[in-house]
Parts: sequence; structure tokens; C-alpha cells
Amino acid sequence: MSREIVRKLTPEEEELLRKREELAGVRGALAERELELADLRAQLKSFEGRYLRQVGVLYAELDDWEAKIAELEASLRPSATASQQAQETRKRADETHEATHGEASKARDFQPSADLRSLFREAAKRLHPDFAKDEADRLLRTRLMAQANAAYSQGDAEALQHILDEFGNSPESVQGEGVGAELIRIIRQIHQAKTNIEAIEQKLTALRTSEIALLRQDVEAAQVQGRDLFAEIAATTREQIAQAKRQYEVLKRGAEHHG
Amino acid sequence: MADKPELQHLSQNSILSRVPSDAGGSLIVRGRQAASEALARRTESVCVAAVKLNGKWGFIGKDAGFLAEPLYGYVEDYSDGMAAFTLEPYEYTLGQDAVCWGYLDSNGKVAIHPSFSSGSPSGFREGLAQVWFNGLAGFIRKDGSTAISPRFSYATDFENGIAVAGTGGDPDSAFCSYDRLALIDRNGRTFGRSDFEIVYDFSEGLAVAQVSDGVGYIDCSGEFVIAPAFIEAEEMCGGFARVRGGAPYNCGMVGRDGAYILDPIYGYLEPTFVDGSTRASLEGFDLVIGRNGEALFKCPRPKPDDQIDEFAWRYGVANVRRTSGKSFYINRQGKRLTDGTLDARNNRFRWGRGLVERSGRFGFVDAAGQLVIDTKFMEAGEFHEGYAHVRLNSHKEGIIDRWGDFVSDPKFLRDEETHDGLIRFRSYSAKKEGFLDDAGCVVIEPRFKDARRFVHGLARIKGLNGKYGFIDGQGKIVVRAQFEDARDFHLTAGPNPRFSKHY
Repeated sequence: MSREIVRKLTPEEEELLRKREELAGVRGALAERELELADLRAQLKSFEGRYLRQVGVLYAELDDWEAKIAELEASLRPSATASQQAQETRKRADETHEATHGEASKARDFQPSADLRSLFREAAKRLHPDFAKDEADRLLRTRLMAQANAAYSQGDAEALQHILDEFGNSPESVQGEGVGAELIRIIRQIHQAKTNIEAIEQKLTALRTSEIALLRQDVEAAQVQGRDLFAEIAATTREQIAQAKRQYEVLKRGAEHHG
Repeated sequence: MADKPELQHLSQNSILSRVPSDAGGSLIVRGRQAASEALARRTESVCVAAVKLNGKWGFIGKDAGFLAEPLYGYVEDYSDGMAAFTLEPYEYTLGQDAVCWGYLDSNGKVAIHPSFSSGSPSGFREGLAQVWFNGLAGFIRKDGSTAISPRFSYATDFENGIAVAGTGGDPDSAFCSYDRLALIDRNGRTFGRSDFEIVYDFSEGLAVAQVSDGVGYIDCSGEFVIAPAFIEAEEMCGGFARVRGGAPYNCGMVGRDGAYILDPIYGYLEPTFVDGSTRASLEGFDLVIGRNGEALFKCPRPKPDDQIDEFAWRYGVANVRRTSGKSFYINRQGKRLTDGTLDARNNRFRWGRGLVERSGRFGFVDAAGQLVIDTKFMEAGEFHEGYAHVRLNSHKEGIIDRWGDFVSDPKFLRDEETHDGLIRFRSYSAKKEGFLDDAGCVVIEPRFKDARRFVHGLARIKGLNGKYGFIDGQGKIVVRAQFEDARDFHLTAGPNPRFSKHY
């Protein structure tokens, strides 16, 4: 009968084990929230891109016609007010055009695979700046986490894996310190992570009540009723564009008539 | 609230960082407004009613509690998904002191805090509401931002993207005062002519407008499409409009192209055709004419010997009143409804009954000219609330119903038409109100101190406690009489409102 000699753990070591378990749980919860946030943000970004491509471009066209009308009116009936109105309307048209044709309009559909979601969850667990042991580590994790967010929103699993590999190979990821120091670090990390979870909840709430989320809610509610709200808004805007064109033509004819 | 530094990696380029003043942010707000308008146009709106409890106004749903708790000095009914409210006590009267108005959204939540001072509330139309600053009118959007800065001394609400606005005038005048009017678009830009004295509402794409030359019709470009060559003009109705012009100011009808459909030869002409005819006066004779001016009926003698009284619109019947000989009833096609033995003594058809006399006795005909109540009464008055007071002989007088039967306990009808298939009545004996169906059967017994007509399936009632509540079409109380005041149910024009659990 063999007898195994087991070293009895010190109270500090037992506490460290408990805290490591707790930290693992908190890491998991934080990673889930991060994933949820990244999902929602990517979905809204994708929705915004669709909105800008289907409806925004029409608003840009309408604003352009409005600006043309204001400019023509200012030339027909010159006054300080007319000139100011023309400038303001043109500025708005330019802003709309820029917003409509900017980076946001290029966002495509977001359908993350199970593997991608799993990778991101893993990245959030391992890379999160909350679990940094010092300032240098925090800076590294912040950079890598931002890259992981970008890779996830682009659906780039390869890049995400590369980031994880890079972190895994970095000397900062190697642990090695006394029990007391590690215990203090883990307690702080748990506290920081819990605070961060609360902050992410707030961000999720803010995102869910943002204008773009409410617009998506309206569109989805209409979709349930078999309606395409974007198509309806686009149709109305096209009518407004046609009306603006007519108004512009009337003005132009009037200008030509009066020489 | 700014993100904590360590969280910034999560929110770079975030949608959250957008504010409505950004071009992208305002584009999304714009989309939201358009989406709300589209939903309001097509989604079945939810019925709510304004109620007053403990001196404060709020909104309730049909059976789903408060949409807006009673916290307000006054609330206006919903319009375009928004309801104006004030925190101050308010009751509309002419010359009411200005109070501050804000707006509730279709969920009954404060969307715009009270900050617009006016003597009366202005509702939203097409996403914009008129507001006043320092005696000048402007317009705000549903998010409270300024759509058109205050610069007009007069403005109408927007309709189809167009409003009428005036400038100048006497700023101290207690009444609407302006120098000239013009049309404005949703950006506040004027377009078309800017020298209108009056512009009426658009109807069928055209609006009556008056300039110093006269009255004509403008289209949505703000230019005359029918020259201002008239002295008076009515709004377009069915592609026609009555105008008055030319010496000696006769009436005619014009079409949308301004061409006369009926030449301006009539001393009088009713403003619209109904069932293909209208009433006119030509060369001193009253007549009923068709759409091409053909006479369907012409009084044999000139006015004032023979004249056609105003049609009883609901029944399509008019009285041809004669100073000598027997008066009679005609319909809209000019057909004589009563024969020479009956004298139409009443110039108004009320409750589907017209008074006639034969050999000194009175009776009543219906809208087809049929004698439904025989000429047997010594005296008779016209129908009122479904009953007429008559005297049969020197011993008997009383109240008859529309079929000529004496009734000891009349049910006085409060409306001439049914609403939601029901008509209100007041019980003579019970001195309370209830409802009948089309056939005259009591559907809801008279048990209410006061009742109003049915609107959207519910009727407002005043309970014996003097408080207001609502009943359904079966007389079931769906909202207990508990409110000091209440108005009829109306549509919020807003999708998916959320109600609190209790009244």
C-alpha cells in the first residue's frame, strides 16, 4: 500500500485557489458581456450601413435638390437672409452626402459563426485589460482587445486567432509571483472585472435605446407585419425628391421667363 | 457620460458616440421620424382618452390603464403621435393668457419639456408643430429641435409639406395680423407669389387665394393656375368649384382648368353638386339644375311667390314654399314628392319627417313623400329629438313618435344619426340616458346621468356620483366613473404604446 505525502496548503494558498476559481467565473461572465456588446454593436453597424445605402442616399439627393432650390432662390431674389439660407442648406446637403457615402455605409451584413463567437469569447477572457498585472500589460491588452473587437466585427476568425497566438507568446503572459502578491492582484482583478461588467450593462442599455437601435426596432416590428419600412420611407422620399425637382423647374422657368 | 479611459477600446467609432447634431446622427433621427410617420400612417393606432383626476389630466387606454399618469394641468388630444400638455391649470377661452406647452410622445412620456408659450396648444402635423417665441411663429420637430426658426407673424399647420405664413402686421394686435402671405416649405423657405392677402386650405390640389386683383386658385407651386379674376371662390369639390364674378356678380361653376362648367349667370348657386344636382336661382326663378345646367325643376312663379328652401341635406328633400297656393316637397332630382292635396307647411325636414296639412288637419310625410302620419291633428310642431308635440282635439294633446303613436314615456333621441350602430336617448320618466339600436329597441337601459355618443366603440357616461367613465356597446362599464372630466376616445397614431397596469 503506497502512501502519498501531500503538502498541506497554507491558508493563503487555499484562499488563492478560491479566488482563482472566482476570477475564472468573473472572466467568463465578462467575456459573455463583451461578446454581447460586440454583437449588438456589429449588428447595429450593419443595420446602419443598410439604412444609409437604402434610405440615406435618397436623403442626400433630396438635400441636394433643396440646396439647389435655395441657391436658385438666392440668385433670383438676392438678400442676406436668402444667401444665408442657401449656405445653410448647402452645408446640410454636403454633410448628408458625406455621412451617406462615408465609412458607415460600407458595413455589410453581420452573421458571426459559432467558431468566431467562441474565439472572441476566448479572446475576451484572456486579453481583457482588467486582468493586466501591471501598466505595461494593460497597454498591450488594450491594444490587442481593440484589434480583437475589429477582427470580430469584420468576421475575421484568422486575425482573431493570430491575436490570441501573439498574446500567448508574449512574455507578459507568463505568470510568476509570490502567493501574497498574486492574491492581491486577483482580488483587484475580480473587483475591476465586476465594475466593468456593470459598465458594459450600462453601455448595452444605452445602445439598446439609441436612435439607431430604436429605428431597427421599428423596422423589425414592421417586418413582423409583413412591411418593409425602408422601402416605404424610400418611396416617400422619392416623392419628395420629385416634388423638389418640380419646384426647382418652376423656379428655373420663372427665372428664364423674367430674363 | 464619458467612458472611463480603460473602456475606450470598446467604444472607438461607436454608434453611441453619435449625437443628433452630427450629420450621421441627424440622418438616423430623420429616419426614425420617417419610420414613426410611416408606422402611424399604416399601423392600427391605439385608442386613448384624456381624463382628469384629482385636478390633473392624463391619458387612459380602453382597458389597459394609464398611458400617461394624471400629472398635467391640461392635455390636448393626440395629433400625429404627439399630445401637447401644460403643467399649469388651463382652460381654453378666447384671450387665454399664454402658458408653457410641452409634448408627450405616443407612449405618454414627456418628449419635449414645456418651453413654448402660447394661449392655445398647437398639435403636430406631418412631424412639425407650430410654436411661438416673442410673438413670432416657428416650427419644431418631434425631438424638440427647431425646424423653422420663429420669424412669421402668422402661420398655418403643414399639409402635404406646405404651410401658409405671413410676415409684418401689427405685433401688438390681439388678433392675427400680417401684411402679406406666402407658401413655405418644411425648411421655412417661401416660394411662389408672396403677395397673398388670404390663402384658404388646399382642396383637391388647389387652394383659393386672394390678391389685390381678385380671387383665384393656386397650386402647390404657390402660383395661380386659375387667374384671380373672381370676387368670391369656393374650394374645389369633386373637380368643381362655385365662383362669383363678372357683372353683376353672378355665380357659376369652374372646373380644375378654370373653364366654366356652369356659366356665371346664376343669382344664387349652392356650392356643391349632391347626387348630380344643385339648387340655383336664375333670372328671378328658383330651380334645381343638373351638372350641365339643365333644369330638373323650375318654380312656376318667380321669387318671392315661389321659392325653394334650403335642402334638408341628410334626407335630400327641399320645400317649395309658395306665398299663394299649396307648398310642396321635392327631392334632389326635382321630383315633386307631395300631391296637390297636401300643403307642405314646414320648411325643414327634421328626423325624416316633414309637416303637411290637408283640410286644416296636420300630418307628416317621410323623405319619399309618403304620408306616414295621417293628417288628423288640429295642431302639430316639427319633430325634435325624435318626437313631435301635437294636439288631436280639444281634449287630447301629447307627444307622438315618428310613427304617429302617442307615447306616455318618450325616449327623447339626442342625435339624428346612430354612432357605432347606437343612438342616445333620454328617458322622460327616468330622467336618465341610455341607447337604442337602429330598430328603436333599447340596448342599454337609461341609467346614466349623462351619456355621449359612441366613439371607437366606447361612450362616455356620467355616473350618479357625478364622475365620468366609459361603457361599451353592451352597456358594460369598461372604465369606472371616477374621473372629474373626460373626453372621447381618439387614436394616438402611435405604434405599440405601453400602458401602466391600473387606472
